[in-house]
Formats: sequence, structure tokens, C-alpha cells
Amino acid sequence: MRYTTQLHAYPGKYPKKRHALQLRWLSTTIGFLILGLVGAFVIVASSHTDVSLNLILQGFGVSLVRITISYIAAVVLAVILAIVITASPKIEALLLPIFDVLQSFPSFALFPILITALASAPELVIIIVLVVTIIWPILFTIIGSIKNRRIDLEEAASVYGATGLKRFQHFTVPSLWPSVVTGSIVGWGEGWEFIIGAELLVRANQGIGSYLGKLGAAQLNGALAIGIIVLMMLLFIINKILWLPLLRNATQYQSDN
Amino acid sequence: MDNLILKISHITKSFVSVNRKPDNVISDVSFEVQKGEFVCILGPSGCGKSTLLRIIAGLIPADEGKIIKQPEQLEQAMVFQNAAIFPWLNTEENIAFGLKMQGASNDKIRDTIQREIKQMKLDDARSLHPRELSGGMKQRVGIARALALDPDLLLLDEPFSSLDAFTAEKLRNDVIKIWQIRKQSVVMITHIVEEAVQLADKIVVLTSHPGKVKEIITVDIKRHRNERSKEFYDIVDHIKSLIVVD
Repeated sequence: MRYTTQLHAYPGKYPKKRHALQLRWLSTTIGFLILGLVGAFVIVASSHTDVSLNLILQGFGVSLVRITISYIAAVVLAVILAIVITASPKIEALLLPIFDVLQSFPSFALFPILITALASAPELVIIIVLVVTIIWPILFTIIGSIKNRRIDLEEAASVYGATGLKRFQHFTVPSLWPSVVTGSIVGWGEGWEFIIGAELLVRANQGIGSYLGKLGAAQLNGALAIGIIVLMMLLFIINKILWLPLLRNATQYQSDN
Repeated sequence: MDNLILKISHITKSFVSVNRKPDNVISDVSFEVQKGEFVCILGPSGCGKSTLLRIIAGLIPADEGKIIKQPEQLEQAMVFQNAAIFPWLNTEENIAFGLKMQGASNDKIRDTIQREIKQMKLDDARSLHPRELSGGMKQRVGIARALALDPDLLLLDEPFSSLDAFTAEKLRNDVIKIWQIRKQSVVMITHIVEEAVQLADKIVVLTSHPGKVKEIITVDIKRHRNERSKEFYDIVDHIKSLIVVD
């Protein structure tokens, strides 16, 4: 018998991959079919209520911009903080308990202070509260991933000359990528949960939260229901075209031993 | 002295243990490596072999002693026990990593990838990521990544210990063939006596905790060594007696 280390020793690998691909296409098709049906229902139903699809989409667009700005700020801050916190055991012992307490502090409790201090800048109030909300899952998943990192990969990067900016680009970023994506999915979801409340509290002129708030205040319950359905549909689409592909991509970056 | 590439001189290293007392892992270790020489560092678990290799690689500092490399800026590369290839890079990208960090030209990187892929028999695995590779293939990529730098000094940290016996033997034979062609200086860590006698020109036997040089043995058996020959067994028995006595 001849023993081999060649790859064709694993005959089952590629058919399995194809099977997974077919399943993914099937689930995507079913997802968009359901989305189409819900969309058709929304269009028909909206003509019988006082809801404006244009205003919903406009409000959603404004909220999306707010969340995107807050998310980018949160990711940059989280990466910097995680690297600083885990830089040495002494810094970690000092800072980690502080951030652990801070993360349990309810973001909405910041509103009275922020609204008073930044009365002329309601946009900034919303963005600060959103950053404070989104940052925690990203920060703690990155810290977890740094603490569980493979020392041999770090050593390999050093032996092969990865220093300074090259190390950050070719080693630090790819090794943190899976935790940034998983933390981002949670943070992004929490951001949408918060923005509705934040826009209502700040009485923002625009945004999906303020529009739904206005429908609710006017007791237009049918229109409110359609607004919520549209919001869910749009979030589903973002999830499908952005986060799920990113999650699949991030698994490629994960260590296998 | 002209042939000297590495001189390890009175190296000592301690770590702070859990109860905050210094734990001496290596004590007063000295030996030399000549150009083109294959040196194995052999010793029981916990004798500080890997620590010593990391000191040589410059990953951790020694508490005492000196490491002299000739030339001072000699090109060195390291192969790790679990390959330590980057999960986000495919085989070609992993092989090119060191060259890329050095800022090598695209032409040089492309030619080197071709050469190492052929030498390490990785043609079918060019575009595969580590999670799609078997243990043996991962280690081949790890070795190819090291050889891509065409190093003067190759450091091997128990490169065959996580592989099954058949894969380990095949890879060991390939490494010997490559070394005979390229004649790079090699320092390899192992705890397998037969492996050290099969591969090395010189074996540095370390005592258990803390690791001190027990004896330096020159293996003067001709290459294509027969593992069943008397002279092979004589050296194996001698080394085992050293470790047992220790």
C-alpha cells in the first residue's frame, strides 16, 4: 500500500462544498421570494393607509447614515482601545475592569446630560449615544480574540519580518478581522434598536425613528405597522447583502488549530 | 573560524513562575554551528529546547550569554511545530509572506513561489487555505515559506512531531534531500533520538530542567544512514543512556 500526503486523499471535500453552495442559493431565492411577496403586500396596503413609502425610505436613509457614521467611529475606537488595553498585563489589569463596568452603563442614561450639554447639536447627541452602544460588543470580541491569539502565528510574523505598518496591515488586521465582523453584527443590530429611541428622545426632524414616532403619536396604527414591516425588510436586505457575506469571508481568516 | 555561522555562548534564561520565583530553564548552554552543518538539539520535555531556539531566532532575549551570528545580519528562517502558517492566506501567499515583508519585487516573488511549490510538491495546493490542507501539507507550506527566503540559517522547532509516522518520515526524507542540495545550516529541535541520529551532523544533548549541555556528539555515519545498522544503534544507545542517567 502506498501512503500519500496529496490532496486527492480527500475525495469528499469538493462535492460537499458544491452542496453547501446549492443550499445557499436556494435559501437566498426563498428569502427574496418572501421579500417580494411582503413588498407587494406593503405597496397594496400602503395605498389604503396614510403611510408614505417615500418618507419611510427617506427616514431610513437618514438613520442609515447616522448608524454608518457611528459604526465606523465605534470600530476605529474599539480597535485602538483593544490594542491599548491588551498591550501589557498591567494596563489590562487597570483598564479592563473599568471598561467592564462602563459597558453595563445604560446608554439612554446619557441623554439628559448630552441633550443639556449639546442642545444645539442633536445630531451629535444621537451619534455619541450610538457609538457608546455599538462599541461594546466589538471591543469585547476583539479583546477576546487578542487574548486567545495563537502565539506561534505572532512569532511567525516576527520571524518573517512583519514590523510596524506592514505588521498592522498584513498580520494585525487579518487576525482581528473575524472578531471585528462578529462584534459588528451584534453592534450594528443594537445600533438599530437604539436609533429608534434616540431619534424619538432628541425629537429629530428626520429619521426612521422620528417618522414612526409621528405615525404612532397620530394613532395611525395601520401605517405604523406597514412602516415597521418596511424597516424589517430593509434590515433583512442589509443583513443578506452585507453582513452574511462578510461573516462567510471572516471564517476564511479564522485559525483552524 | 571562517566556517562558523552561529556561536551560542553561555546562554542562561529564567522565567518568573506562578509563585513569582525565578524558574531557571536554560543554564550556561554553549555550542557552535558551522556553515552547512545540521545540528540537532535533543533533550527531554521541559529542558528548554524551544526556549533556546526562540533565543537564537531573536524572539526572546537571553538573561545571560551571547549569540554571535556571522555575518551579523545573516538571513534566518524558522519552521514551527504546528506549521504556524497564516489562516487567511493561501499556499502561494503564505510562501511569499517573508519576501513581501522584505519588499522583494513581484518577479522575484513569483519565481520563488514557483521554485518552492515544485520543491515541496505543493502544486495541487497552490490556491488552498490552511484549513483545506492536511497536517503534512501545512508543514510543507511552513517549510516552503522558510526556504523561500533562501536562509543561511534554518531553525526547525520539532517540525515532524505533530505528524503521523508515515507523513513524518516522508517529510524528513524530503528535508534531508533539500538540505543536501542547498547546504544551509540547520538547527533543529527534537525529542526523538532516532530522528536526531538520522538527520544531524552534530547532536547537542541537553539535561532536563534546567537545560544544560550534557554532551555534544558528532555523528560521523555516512549519509543515507541505515537505521538498522550497528553504528546507528550504538549512537542511539549512547544518547539514550545519557538521558536515562540524567
